[in-house]
Amino acid sequence: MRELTLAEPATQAPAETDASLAQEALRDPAAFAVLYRRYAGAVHRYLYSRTHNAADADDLTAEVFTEALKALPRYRERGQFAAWLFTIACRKAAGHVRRLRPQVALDEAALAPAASPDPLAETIRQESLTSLAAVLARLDEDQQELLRLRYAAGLTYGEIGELLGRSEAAVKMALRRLVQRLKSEWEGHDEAAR
Amino acid sequence: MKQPGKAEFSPRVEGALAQLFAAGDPRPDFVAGLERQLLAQANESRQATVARDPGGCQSRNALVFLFQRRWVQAAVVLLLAIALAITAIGPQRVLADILRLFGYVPGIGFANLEKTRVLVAPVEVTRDGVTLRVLQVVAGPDRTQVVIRSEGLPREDQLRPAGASLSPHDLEFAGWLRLPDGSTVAPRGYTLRWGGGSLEFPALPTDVYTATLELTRLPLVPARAAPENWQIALALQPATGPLVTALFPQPYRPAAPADTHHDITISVEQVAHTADETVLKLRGTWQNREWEIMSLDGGVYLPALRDDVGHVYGWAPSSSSGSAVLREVVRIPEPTAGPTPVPQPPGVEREFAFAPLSALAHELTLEIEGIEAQEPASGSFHVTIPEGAQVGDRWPLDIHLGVAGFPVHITSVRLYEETLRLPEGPMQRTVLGFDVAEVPDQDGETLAIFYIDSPSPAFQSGPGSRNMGEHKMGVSLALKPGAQLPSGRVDVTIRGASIVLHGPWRVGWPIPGRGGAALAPVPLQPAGATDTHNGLTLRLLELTHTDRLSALDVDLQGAPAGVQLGQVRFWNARTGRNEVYLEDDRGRRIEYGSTNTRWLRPDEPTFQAYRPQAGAQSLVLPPVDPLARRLTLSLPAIDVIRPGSGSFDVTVPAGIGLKTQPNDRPRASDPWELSIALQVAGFEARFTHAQLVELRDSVWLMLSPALGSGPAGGPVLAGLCSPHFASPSGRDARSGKDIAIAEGGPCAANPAFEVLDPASGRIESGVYLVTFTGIAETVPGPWRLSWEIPER
Repeated sequence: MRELTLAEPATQAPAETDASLAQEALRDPAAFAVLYRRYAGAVHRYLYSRTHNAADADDLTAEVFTEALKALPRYRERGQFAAWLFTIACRKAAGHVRRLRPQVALDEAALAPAASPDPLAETIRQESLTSLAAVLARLDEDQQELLRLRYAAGLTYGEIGELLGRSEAAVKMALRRLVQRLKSEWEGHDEAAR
Repeated sequence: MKQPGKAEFSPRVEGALAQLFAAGDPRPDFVAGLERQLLAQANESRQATVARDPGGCQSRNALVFLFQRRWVQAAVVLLLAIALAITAIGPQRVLADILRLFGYVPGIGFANLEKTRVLVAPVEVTRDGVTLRVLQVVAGPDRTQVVIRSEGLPREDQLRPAGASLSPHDLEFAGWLRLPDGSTVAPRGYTLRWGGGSLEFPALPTDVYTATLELTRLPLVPARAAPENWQIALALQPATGPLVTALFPQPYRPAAPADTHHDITISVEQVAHTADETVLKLRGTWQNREWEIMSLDGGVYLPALRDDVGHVYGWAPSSSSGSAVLREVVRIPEPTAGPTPVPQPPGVEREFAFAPLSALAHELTLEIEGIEAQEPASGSFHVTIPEGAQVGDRWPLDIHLGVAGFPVHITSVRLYEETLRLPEGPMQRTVLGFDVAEVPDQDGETLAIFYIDSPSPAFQSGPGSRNMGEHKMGVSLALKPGAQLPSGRVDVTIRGASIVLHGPWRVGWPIPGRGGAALAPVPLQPAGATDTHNGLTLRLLELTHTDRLSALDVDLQGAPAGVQLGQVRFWNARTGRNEVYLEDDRGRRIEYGSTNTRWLRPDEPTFQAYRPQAGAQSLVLPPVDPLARRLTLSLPAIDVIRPGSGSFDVTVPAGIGLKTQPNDRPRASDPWELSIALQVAGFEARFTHAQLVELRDSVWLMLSPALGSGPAGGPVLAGLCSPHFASPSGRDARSGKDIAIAEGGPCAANPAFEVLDPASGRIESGVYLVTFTGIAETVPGPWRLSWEIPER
């Protein structure tokens, strides 16, 4: 049976700052839930971009928030919450070792129907993204990390700067250069592929 | 939820980056499930912190502060009342009264029903043949939960073919509670399934006892597929002890709920039985503070729940979350520093949902075969990369280390390319892989894997692999993207290990209200339940009926020497359907594949690997109708193994290379033509092409077309049995079955073998000799075995 669970995304209370929520979360777990909803997708996207495996990203996301919850009393005034949270996420990702996961049992595999093919438009989109991924792979790890933190995790320049020990302006400059480099390499690659 | 950064420099590039990374968006059910875990954990931590707060000046201040809170005052009054009651009327009776305010609420879970209002009985509305039913409402001091289900809807797969994804329109489901004063309360979260789910609303005002649930559409049901704009009136009552007892299954705690091995104690904290599930809340605590144990589901096997009749209950989708495992993780916090810290062992709690209990059972036993713990480990070694080393090179090492107390011997290192199978396409990277000799178990512990890293700027931690069954593991460093492969010394550090601690942990308990010994079902051996095709007779050897399943054993009767039943075929390739079923004399059909309870014979261990073997085959199907008097088992085809030896050569051309393949396929060579035709046991086997494929850190030769793909109707050659592969240099080449490239069982329809020489790390070209000692033959049916059921 297909199932879906959603956190209600619509009506939100007036936005509270991360810092005040983190403080409130020491007394009221509901405040931590707000922080969690705010960052769950970002942390998962970031960890997926590091592990390339959804199940591993699930496990690590759970570990990150579990550790954050446990360490919350030690968070106080340690700068921006997002930077602190992603410090945990970076450490978890660095310690990650892929496991060989159980294979589908033979009879289950035999009973599974074949997946339907993707539409053409989806194929073209995927090919374009594949070429971008190939360009990304040529960047060094620090540059990739910068892009992950910005475009997977959605951190601000200031948050990234705090996390990486660089100034906000330096982060913005580095990202601008990176995007320009991607633009020339990927768009050239993409055009050539058409 | 924090969204990916907005475009500022190049909308196209930054948009594509956001799309690329959006592949990592978590599933909504994961997000909501983890939120529930964290909230449970936060609540537990808070309570534990309050309970453990040590004395002293600061604590007195904290106590004064706490006591100013009304709920603390109320709690203290309640505790005093409980203490007085215990003194006055005895602990057992008080405990029973308190427990009555706890219940297992289907669709919600274990719940404290103090200060709640509940729906006294399910209510329903039917429109155009579709019924919306509200099964339960629990309106508590902090939230209101509503459980709904639907009946009469078209099947989900009729409206949404297999593989079709949810469209945004499917999510245009909205619901709210309308209160007597006309105001509405919007949900703050929900778990949805086809036409139903659990909706969570904020707490209702304390004086509200009626409300109307209004839904724009049934959950996940597309527009216009069913009636829309539903309204259903709800009437609530305060939950009292007798009401809770009457409405909800009463959770219980076994009398001797724990078992300890390796200083890890597993205890069964709560058990609840409903008609649809058995739910267990387990707690694990351990003494070694260096261990990190995130899971109680073992390193090798899942926890098993078995009864004294012979059922092994499989994991079931829980009514409250839909997940087999309710990931209600509670990490018991470390004791805080203070003048008199109370030592608390670390621990983890989980809930597991199993298939519903048999009415025949009197006792249950939970078994956990193994538990995996992470622990810190240290150590270092180095490897020297020769000048000019390249992918495919392998060189021997003889490094002996102690890792977490285990002797580890690294025997060689090799450079290989790994293809990461990303959703957006394959990506390759170079890996420095270390081969580790088999590490022997020690004191019931297995070193599952250890983690390495390198201070070298060129490398980062790479993938690890492990095969617990064969005690094999590999660890690696991955070359950072863009980095050049360095030559010379590379230092490697060990930073942790994963250990599997073997039990089994076994906790057994009598099921409350079921006295005496279990009534074990009697196995039957019906006469004449046979069918014959192509000179082979299949017979029903034995069957057992219970209220949870039907277990059947079939085998060949009077088969010639050396001929054995290989396997039952479930899938009919011609119709594209699973066609194993039981049919009764009332025309009811019971399909294979819809039961998740196993049948264990008295001499069988609970935990056993799936290894298909020739001979009698066991099938487990759902239970039959008690009124049925005659049954027929229908099987689309069977595989029979016959003696039949033969051999042939396969040549791997020199200089053949692998190429990256499109569409997320592994690297492979171009296929080359072969002309292999053998006559064996009256069949002709023909292979026309071969291809090398890179899988699981090695390179494999795969022959095609697969056997068994000939014209349907008569018997078909389905595989070569017990194949052996000898390389040009005479070494035994691994069979693809070893890594599940070829199918399980003793026979392979598409023989595959390893062509990468483990010593050199290079593809060994030349002539390979393939020999086999038997063949598998598919004999189509349908095979129909019928028998009368004696009076029960």
